[in-house]
Amino acid sequence: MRITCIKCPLSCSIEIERRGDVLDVKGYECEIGRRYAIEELDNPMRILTTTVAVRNGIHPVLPVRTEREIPKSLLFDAVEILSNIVVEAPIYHGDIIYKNICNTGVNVIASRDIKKI
Amino acid sequence: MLKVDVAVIGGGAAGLSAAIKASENSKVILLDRNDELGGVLPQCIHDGFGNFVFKKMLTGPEYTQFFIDKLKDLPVSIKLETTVIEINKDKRIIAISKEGVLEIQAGAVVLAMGCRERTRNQILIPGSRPAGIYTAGAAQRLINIDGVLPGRRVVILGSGDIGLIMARRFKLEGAEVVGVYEIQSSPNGLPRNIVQCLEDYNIPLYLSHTVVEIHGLDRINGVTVARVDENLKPIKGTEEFIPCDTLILAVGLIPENELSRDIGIPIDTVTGGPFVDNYMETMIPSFFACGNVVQVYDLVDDVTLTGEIAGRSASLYAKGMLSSSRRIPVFRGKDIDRVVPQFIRGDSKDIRLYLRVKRSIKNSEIYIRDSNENIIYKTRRRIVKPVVMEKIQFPLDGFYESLTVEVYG
Repeated sequence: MRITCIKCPLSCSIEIERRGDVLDVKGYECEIGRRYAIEELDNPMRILTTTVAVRNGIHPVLPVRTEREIPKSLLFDAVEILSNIVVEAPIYHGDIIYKNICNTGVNVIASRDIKKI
Repeated sequence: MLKVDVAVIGGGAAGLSAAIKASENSKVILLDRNDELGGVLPQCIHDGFGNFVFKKMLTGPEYTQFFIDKLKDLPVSIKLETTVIEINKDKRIIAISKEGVLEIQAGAVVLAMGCRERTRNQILIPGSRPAGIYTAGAAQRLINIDGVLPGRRVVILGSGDIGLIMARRFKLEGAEVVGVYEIQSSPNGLPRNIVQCLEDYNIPLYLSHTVVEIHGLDRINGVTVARVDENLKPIKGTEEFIPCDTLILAVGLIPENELSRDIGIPIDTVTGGPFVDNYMETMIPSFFACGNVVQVYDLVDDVTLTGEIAGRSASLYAKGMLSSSRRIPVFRGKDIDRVVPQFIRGDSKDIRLYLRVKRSIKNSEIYIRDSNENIIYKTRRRIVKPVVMEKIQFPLDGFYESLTVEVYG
């Protein structure tokens, strides 16, 4: 697997492969890059940001985010769930919009205030 | 007529921090043409803002919210849906709003109008003029603020950061993203966005490719793309028709300086923004500028920092307390594309310069030389790249005629 390191502008192209118990990592320039590549191989995590529908708000959609990173493999499942959510204005930033998304233990929270019309 | 110490034009990241800083000891008015504060930030719902200012990765709306909350307790008069149409050299401002014409007399002015996107006209794509062609920012606003998906099968021209972020956004909203086409031989966006917006979603990036024709009458139904040669000219025989219902243009940003030009403020043709010194004062005293109106920054954190400097300087100026020591020019030397600020005040002790290099250089050294060719500061970088703005900070003491920035491999 080829991974572009994003930890510094060098953008090392790291080749990483697991053969049984042996981890083969090539092309990194520093320890941070090596660790990043292993993390990306074993358990890549991402913050998800999207919008959910709002009723009676000054805008029809509310930007939301996962409080912390969730597994990359769950991004589309999480978006699917959130595409069916409708919240009622007013909303305040930090409000929990969805608890424990995809059983990750991570909440989805509002990124901003949305006033009621 | 309204009288204020400091008038801030534009309520985006730069204007917000300028207004907050200036209000510490001045009467401030903040004017913005939009119906809410934050400039482009409220529509930038992705995370990655505030790594330096807040030491965490916030979304655009969260970043804005912090400043809006802070402003609530400060004596800043905020006028939304208010468009400044004229400013004269005596700092008399004319703006229009729902209330009618507003006249303001300011002691100092902070220009924080930001930037806007380049359009199809500026990159000269031939073809018909159907619906379905959007700048990346316009599409971003439609999806993230208005809740409207502008298309289902999307081609993105240009690999600027907003284009990359919109590729991911379209994909998450269920649209198909055919690919990102970049005329240059290397991507224009930050590596982080190439990875997390394209590679994560298997969206192809075609380098050295461009759109040569747009098809469709009422609605776009496809584009012709082609490879380009080293002079960026399309290569005959490489044309390919790509069906799509949406074309997104992510082809760069331009500082929005119509007001600055009307005032007569000298503009740097390299950055597209006013020449400024390290107080963020333009070449016309009492006019300050900050954020993307000066040059397009990579990070909002730096926009905020320049806003703070401009706000502080403007309020000092309005009180007659801003130093007027002589200006030292900062020249662009070897492989340096641009430097901001272009001038340093002689009595400054701590200097921060933003620069872009002309080409990628590994194991580079950045030098600051004085007019006698003496190196007064040097710093190393493992790599410098044109797409990554470099920031250098160094102490200044002594008397200098000029400074020159250079980069060597």
